[in-house]
Amino acid sequence: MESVRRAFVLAGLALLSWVDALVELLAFLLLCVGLVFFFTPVIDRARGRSARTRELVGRWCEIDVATPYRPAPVEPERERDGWYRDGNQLYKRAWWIRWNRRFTWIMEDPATGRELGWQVLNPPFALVTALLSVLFRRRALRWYGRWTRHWLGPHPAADPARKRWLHRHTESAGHQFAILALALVHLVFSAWQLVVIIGAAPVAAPLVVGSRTITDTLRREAGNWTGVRIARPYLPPPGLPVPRADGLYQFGQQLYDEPFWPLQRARTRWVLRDRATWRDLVGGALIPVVSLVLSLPTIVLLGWSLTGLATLWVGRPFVVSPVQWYPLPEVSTHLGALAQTPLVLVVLVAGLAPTTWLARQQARFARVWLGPTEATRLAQRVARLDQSRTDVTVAQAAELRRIERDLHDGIQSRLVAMGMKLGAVEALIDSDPEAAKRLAAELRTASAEALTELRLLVRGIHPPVLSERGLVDAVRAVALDSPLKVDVTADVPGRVEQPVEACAYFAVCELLGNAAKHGGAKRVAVSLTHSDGMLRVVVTDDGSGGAEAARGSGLRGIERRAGAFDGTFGLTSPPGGPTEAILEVPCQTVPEPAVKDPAPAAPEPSSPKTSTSSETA
Amino acid sequence: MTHLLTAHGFDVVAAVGSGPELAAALREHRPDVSVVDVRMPPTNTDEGLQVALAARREMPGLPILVLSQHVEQLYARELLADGTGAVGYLLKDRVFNAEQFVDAVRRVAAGGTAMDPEVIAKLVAGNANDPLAALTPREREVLELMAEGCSNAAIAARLHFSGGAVGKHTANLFTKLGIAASDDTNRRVLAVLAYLGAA
Repeated sequence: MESVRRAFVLAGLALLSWVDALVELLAFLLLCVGLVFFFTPVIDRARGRSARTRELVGRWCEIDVATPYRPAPVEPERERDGWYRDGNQLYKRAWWIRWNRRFTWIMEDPATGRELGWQVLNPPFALVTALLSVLFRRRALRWYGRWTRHWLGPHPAADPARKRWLHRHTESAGHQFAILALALVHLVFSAWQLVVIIGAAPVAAPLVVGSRTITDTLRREAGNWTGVRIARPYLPPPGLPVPRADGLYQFGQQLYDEPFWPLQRARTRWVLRDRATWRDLVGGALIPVVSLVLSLPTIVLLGWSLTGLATLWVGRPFVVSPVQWYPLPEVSTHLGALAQTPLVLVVLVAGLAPTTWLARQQARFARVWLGPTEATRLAQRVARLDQSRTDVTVAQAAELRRIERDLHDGIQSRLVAMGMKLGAVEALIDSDPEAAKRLAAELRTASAEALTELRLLVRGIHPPVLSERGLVDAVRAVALDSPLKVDVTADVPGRVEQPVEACAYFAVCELLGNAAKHGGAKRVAVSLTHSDGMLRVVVTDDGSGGAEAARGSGLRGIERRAGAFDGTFGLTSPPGGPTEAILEVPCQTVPEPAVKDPAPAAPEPSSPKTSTSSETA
Repeated sequence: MTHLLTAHGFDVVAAVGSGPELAAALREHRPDVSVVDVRMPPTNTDEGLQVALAARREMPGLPILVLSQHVEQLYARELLADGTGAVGYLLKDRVFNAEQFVDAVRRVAAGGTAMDPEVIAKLVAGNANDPLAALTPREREVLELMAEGCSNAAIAARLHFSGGAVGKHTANLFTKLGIAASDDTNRRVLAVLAYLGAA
């Protein structure tokens, strides 16, 4: 009896979520007309309802449902100058940033979407369960618990490889239409750019640069959806104008007092001379057409079969009978409709089957026009190398300065002090042997300290393990010294080139240090692999995530070091973790020199003796 | 180095300058203890360590004391990995203090371990790896000194308590680390290994 009562209480609670859904719909409509502030509190209130459901299900249905939400956004922090900073915008007070972050957090969380679905579908299910509980008692409650866990529990993202055929291909059909839609938006912006470039070229630059975000969205999403990566082809923007010796700014044959016009003109020239700008416009005209052509089979076949199914099974019994769905013959009975259904389903499957391939072709065509050509690729590479060369020289100079400072202020001064003490010992050794002994003991500790300092310095320049053992063992040594639990897996045949070794080693050190300092991680996995002339270092930690390459100077340093070798450094760190850093550097390996072991000789027993070996004793 | 050792009553049978020579000397003399530098010609990498490890694989329990300019947990673990004891791993600076150094040489010759305090300090600064979390601070101290290679009597002297108390602590240690009762020297080595997180 108790379980029936509980089931009906749960059903009552479930009915309330229809009220939630209605209020949310209202808030959404207000959001659409610009009244944004109602939305977050409404969703928050609805979350209270599902939290209550989770709690009751845990207590009554013996099924624990964990909270599925991502960790809440961090509180904005006041900078030292009293402003709150969010991206490139400064605010006097924190509430706007806080509200913004909460809104993004709620909207991006997949659990929010699932909860909306649950609010709509749950009440009927709960009612049915309540009725069934009269017969099945506690079993019915258990069903309700599982159902709740499915909707309101944590849901790990589906692995694309494990999605079902139908799921994958339906998604691809969606991607086809989405690429088409994005291409149409891109077409509108391209037309507008063309009009402005022809009509008012001097002010075209801001518009073109702004429109590139649309094109970038198309590039990015096409890559995410179909796996066809489209790189950005644009040339880097011009630098700020530099004044001449007389303080004027020169552009072409014209001199200006202010830097404004030379900069505008330089930017206009940069935009109009970049071939990628024009290729974007051409792509804007061609991609929608090609996309539409490639989507036609999907549109026709899916449209025909889905409308056919609706006609046969909804229109015929409920609206009008007999029906005829061209080119099939007329039907009026269930049996006739059943006979035609397999054919309609076959057409549906035939429409879905090529969607993945077609979507990829759409992205490929987009890549032809929106991707870089060989020339732009080279131009970009030159710019990148230029940048990394500057970075490397600057970093190198700073490094040398640091070493010089450490040697000069640390060890050199210690050695000077030791020399003075030695002089004192020399003077005292005959007159006051006791004091000389004391001084000698002090000297010994001083020399030990100097050695310790020198050891630290050497480790900072180039860790001895690295030169003795190579990258893999050096990383293992760092892993052992780290306060975290670090698992190292390695598959590197032989040793990679020395400079790359150092780059990878210091990158791992930096990442481990970050994980320990900021990430709050406990376990870290480091994997080193070398294949196809590419060294891949992957560092994954289970910390709280939220790291950004743009924020940390250390991470930028890794990027710079890798850039010097034409390598890449990528960081994915969603809030809530896990943080995954991937460093890829092209390099060659040299096979490890084998330690030569002379043929074993017959050992012989001997009297107590010692052997010593050292280069310098 | 040779002077230092002869001054302390050792009989030096061979002093060699490169890895292959060292391997040959170890095989030929089977010394009661050998003092090896990690970096040696011809490769000037970790030749000395590699030869030492190879020799111990061939002749288990061959007492070897490794000296280096820098200490690495990684090398310490490799040396201790075979669990037969009679190994030492010290910074070269320890040679300055002749008594302590000679004492370490003798300990290694007797089948004990001599780990550099730096290795130990790094461990303490590092993680409390799981089996060690169960230890009391006192037991940890005892284990640290044991890892450095002190005997029970020396530990008692260092920590200022009675020999019996040290015995009790070590017994507790062994049970907590799940080391079965067997030959005491071996148990000490195993405890140190557990301490180094390799067991």
